Amino acid sequence: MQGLKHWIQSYRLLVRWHLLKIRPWIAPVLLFQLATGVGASLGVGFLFPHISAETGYFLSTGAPTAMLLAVGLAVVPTTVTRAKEAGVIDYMMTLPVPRLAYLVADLTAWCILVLPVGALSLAASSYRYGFQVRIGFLLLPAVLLTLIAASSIGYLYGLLSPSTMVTSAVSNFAILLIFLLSPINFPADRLPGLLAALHEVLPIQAVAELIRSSLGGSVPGSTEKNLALVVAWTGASLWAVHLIMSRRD
Amino acid sequence: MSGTPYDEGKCPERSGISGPLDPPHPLRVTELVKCMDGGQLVSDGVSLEVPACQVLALIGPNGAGKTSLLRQIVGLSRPTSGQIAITGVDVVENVGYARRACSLQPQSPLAFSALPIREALTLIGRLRGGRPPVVMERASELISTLKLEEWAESRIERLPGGIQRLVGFCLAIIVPGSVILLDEPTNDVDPLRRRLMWGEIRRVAETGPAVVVVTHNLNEVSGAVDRVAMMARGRIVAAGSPVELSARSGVETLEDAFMMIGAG
Repeated sequence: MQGLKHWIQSYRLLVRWHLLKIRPWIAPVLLFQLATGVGASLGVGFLFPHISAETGYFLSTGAPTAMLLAVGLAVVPTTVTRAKEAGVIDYMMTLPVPRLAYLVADLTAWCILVLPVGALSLAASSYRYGFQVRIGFLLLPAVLLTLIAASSIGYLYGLLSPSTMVTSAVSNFAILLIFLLSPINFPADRLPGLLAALHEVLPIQAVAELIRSSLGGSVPGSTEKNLALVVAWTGASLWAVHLIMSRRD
Repeated sequence: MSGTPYDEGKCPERSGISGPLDPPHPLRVTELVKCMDGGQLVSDGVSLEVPACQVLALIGPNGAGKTSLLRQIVGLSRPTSGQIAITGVDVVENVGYARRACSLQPQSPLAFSALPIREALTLIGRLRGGRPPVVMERASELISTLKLEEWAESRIERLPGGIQRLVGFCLAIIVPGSVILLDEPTNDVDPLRRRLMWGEIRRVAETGPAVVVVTHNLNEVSGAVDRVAMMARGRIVAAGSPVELSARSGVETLEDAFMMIGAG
């Protein structure tokens, strides 16, 4: 009981620390996140000369997924590697706080920062393509799970990366993977066989389908299978991050 | 920090001799060896003890293994062999205890540099288990003692390097553990505040913890610490009071002793 109380107290204080840390830049960060989210929703529409409401719905329900993944797989790892290089993570590990509380607090801060932007980008594309957003009860869990899965994977390679330069290169590839090589804004059958097979085991397609189905879209995969795959990736990543943070040199 | 044998701020005699009824030394390092992955020996049989209420200066040339020793004590690095005990608890195996018992001021920039001084002090004090009113009072006291009032509400990263170093020191002692580890705390700090800082180190030590200060400011060390341990190539090559070390080397100052012993 004492342990749980300490965990919650540490978590609460660490969330506060993460938010205070970004407080000075919260306005520009939110603004550019919003621009990215809305830009992704509307921008993909420029690829096609005519967009029906149905296609618009497909693209718009993919955009929040792409944005959440971009934050988790590109922004988070860069901040983690930078913190590691500056000795911040080492310092935090010398404090009497549970390691997992540190990680979960960081992910919570990202959720607080990103979720309103996701909602606004969806609203913008709903207006642009003229459809009604249908929000299912699974939307919030799906969005949270997506962000946690992506951020924990991003955290993992942010910690493992030898330098910020390498992390930036991997993050750039992650962006390419999300926007052009993943079945988020187009159906999986357009991909070459090998890539399509790879997406059967990677969590990207699964989170896209989870979010799309919770927004009322039709998806080929089963929700249970997608959930199991994403939960497995999230659990494995969190476990690996915990192990790395517990490691002593 | 609650739960240590030093809660009441009662120090044993400053003779450095402990009797059978004394609590275990806050810090005892025995035959510590640390071999890095590349084969470099950063600790080569290091043994030292720091009794309660004592300040030990760890001096030595760059690369002597001082910071590596602190990293092992606080649990960031695992020794290849040897023992580290804090208040009698083996912290090589029990890293969680090391984190609760040690307060570290690292050399690297501050994790809390995006926060104003007072906010950072309050937050870290609470993360270290301090009660809010006590932490807030202690934060104000430190800000006043070290003459940081004009920057108290400013973001740390915008302050001069020496002031940032002082804040790092305050963060380490806002809720002190039974072992305080300060890695070059006085670097870049102006002479007035260096003096205030040494005074505060002494004051905190009087409340019970063992304090280890890594420093290159040898002139200041002489009057401010109880003992000095000199490291070179991962070993303690000399230890004693500043006066003893100087006398043993047949020189007048600790700096001269450092030149003789360190060069040898």
